[in-house]
Amino acid sequence: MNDLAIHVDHVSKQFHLGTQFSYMRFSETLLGAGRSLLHAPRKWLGRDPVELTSTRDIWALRDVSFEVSQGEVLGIIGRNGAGKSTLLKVLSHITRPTKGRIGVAGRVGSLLEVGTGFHPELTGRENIFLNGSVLGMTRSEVRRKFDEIVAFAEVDEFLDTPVKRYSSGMYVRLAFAVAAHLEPEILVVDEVLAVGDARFQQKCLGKMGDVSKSGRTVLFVSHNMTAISGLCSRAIWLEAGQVKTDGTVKDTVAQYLTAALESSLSCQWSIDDAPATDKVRLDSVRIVPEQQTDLISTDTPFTIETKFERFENSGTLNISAMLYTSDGVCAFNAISPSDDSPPGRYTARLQVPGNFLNDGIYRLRLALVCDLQPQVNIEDILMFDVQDGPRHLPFHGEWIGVVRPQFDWETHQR
Amino acid sequence: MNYFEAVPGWRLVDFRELWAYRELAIVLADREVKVRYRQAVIGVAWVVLQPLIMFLVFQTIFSLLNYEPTVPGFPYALTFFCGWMPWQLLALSMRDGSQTLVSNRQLVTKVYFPRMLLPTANVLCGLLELAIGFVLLLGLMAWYGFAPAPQSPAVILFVALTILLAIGSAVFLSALNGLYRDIGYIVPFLIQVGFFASPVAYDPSQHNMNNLWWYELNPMAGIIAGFRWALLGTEAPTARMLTFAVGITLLVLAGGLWYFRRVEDWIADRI
Repeated sequence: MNDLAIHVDHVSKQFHLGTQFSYMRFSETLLGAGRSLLHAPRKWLGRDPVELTSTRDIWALRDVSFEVSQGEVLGIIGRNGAGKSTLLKVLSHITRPTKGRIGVAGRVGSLLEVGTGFHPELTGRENIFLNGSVLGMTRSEVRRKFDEIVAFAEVDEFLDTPVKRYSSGMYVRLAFAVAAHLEPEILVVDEVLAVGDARFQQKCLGKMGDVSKSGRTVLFVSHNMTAISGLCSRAIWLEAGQVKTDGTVKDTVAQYLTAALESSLSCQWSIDDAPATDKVRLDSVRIVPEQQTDLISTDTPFTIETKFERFENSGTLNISAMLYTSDGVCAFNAISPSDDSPPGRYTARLQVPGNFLNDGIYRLRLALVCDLQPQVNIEDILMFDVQDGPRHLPFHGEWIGVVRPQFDWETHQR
Repeated sequence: MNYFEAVPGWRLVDFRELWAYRELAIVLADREVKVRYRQAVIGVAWVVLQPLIMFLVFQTIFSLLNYEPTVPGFPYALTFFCGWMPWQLLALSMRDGSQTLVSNRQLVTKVYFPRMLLPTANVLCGLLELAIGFVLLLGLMAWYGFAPAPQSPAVILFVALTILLAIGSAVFLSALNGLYRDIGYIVPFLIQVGFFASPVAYDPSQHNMNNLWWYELNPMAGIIAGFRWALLGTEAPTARMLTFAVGITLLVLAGGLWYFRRVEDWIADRI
């Protein structure tokens, strides 16, 4: 037991979703309690089984068990909604498991999304101290690490500027630097690499490697399979709240990618399950290749078809379709023109021409945006493989580039 | 290895953990002070201006109504300030403290620390205002030629009582507000009612209000009477008043802590 850093012991976590009232109001709860009292006698008599609260319980984690040794670098992969973030939250003591227990040896430094615990009104310097004490460190401990943090984050000129004026890149750099330098025994990193430039991503990966070499444990969640493969020795694939695979990073990533490709080219929900806000609801997304096969190759034009419903006050709506390569590089973000249509059900189609994408795996992220506020924003909503198409040249090696457009060449004799 | 597991119901407050995070409490309070006054143009001067303006308003109204609100033998300014100081600590703690979990959603849903520190740090921040109030009051007393009463050190007891009451209310309201957003609308109203239900701007020991037991159920009645007794040397609060003040305060504190502990573990899912 001594060299165990994390012990996840049959952990389940339940969420209650979709209560009768969409907003949690105290008055509504009182009203609900009053109504159930009124209806209770009828319920007890077994007549008229009125379901007063249409609460649905969702198990975000189901009986998850695994152990992590000290100094190990564990990658966690899985589709969105598979329970990765919930697992990290339970691990960081942010929320308690519904069943089971989770053991952690030492301090956990968690970097869940960008800018954990930063206060926008405070300066970079003040936020470093704030974050340090949130991690349970004393001021003198933070002071000792201060220069290193500033140097790593490259924000020395802006130390006394409120972080609300920081660019998003600076924000992430500082957040990462603080979390990584405050020497928690366990470092939990959730998808920070989505922001920040390539050079800094490299630096972060390097730092995480160093952290693990110094005997501390790293838990790393990412959609970037290259980063996961490069950094982790072992990986866990979570699917629908359960551990699907737990093994070497190579095996897990391979299994995950294979399965992800099989998961077809469409994704749809019933009305109750659909991702929605009070402005819009996303009903389905699918990719339709022009030739009516499930095979897409580099020369196949295809359509990304989105069905959604607009409610009242949806305002100006834009749909944003973002394609990422398996390395997490964004190939493009196609944003639909602003649209002020009335409430109702709509279908939107985005044409992606043939001879545009390169071969390889692409992941679609889709966002419905109302009045510039993202409502629904789902990463990895679909994943598809673009096969190598006809090349018209005798070269069969790897074709580099995020895209493989066929532009017109003109060559004239001078 | 430190296990974190599914546990039912209510638990005692983990004071050891709170103590381990004491630096965070100070940093949070410090942040609260900075944020509260950094962008306010008049900043700390506001702390002085607010009671002065309120005092002038009441002074004017009462003199127009021909009503004598002050404790006999003492200038109204002194009566008013003695009431204002503890009341303001409680009111600020209720107003800002109830918002702490919601406004720090970023922290609460992303990192772990004893959540109770947020409303508590807010009360600590209010202590700064109380300290400024004391300086102001001493200045006023000097101006009017009053020396602090010999029993003035006893005011510490009443300050402590106010702090406990403030922590209890802030902790309770912050948890409630985390779950039910409309608490945010109820609190300002509650404060307004509380201001008139507490002897801040008037002296209840005269007129018909003397010895109304239900009036004394408001712990602020005993606390403010205690402030005036300790600092100015007015009539001491009765034993019943003190019992009510201490009893209700402890009840609010225990209830607030109990409720907070009950919801703390899953509030991050709901907030």
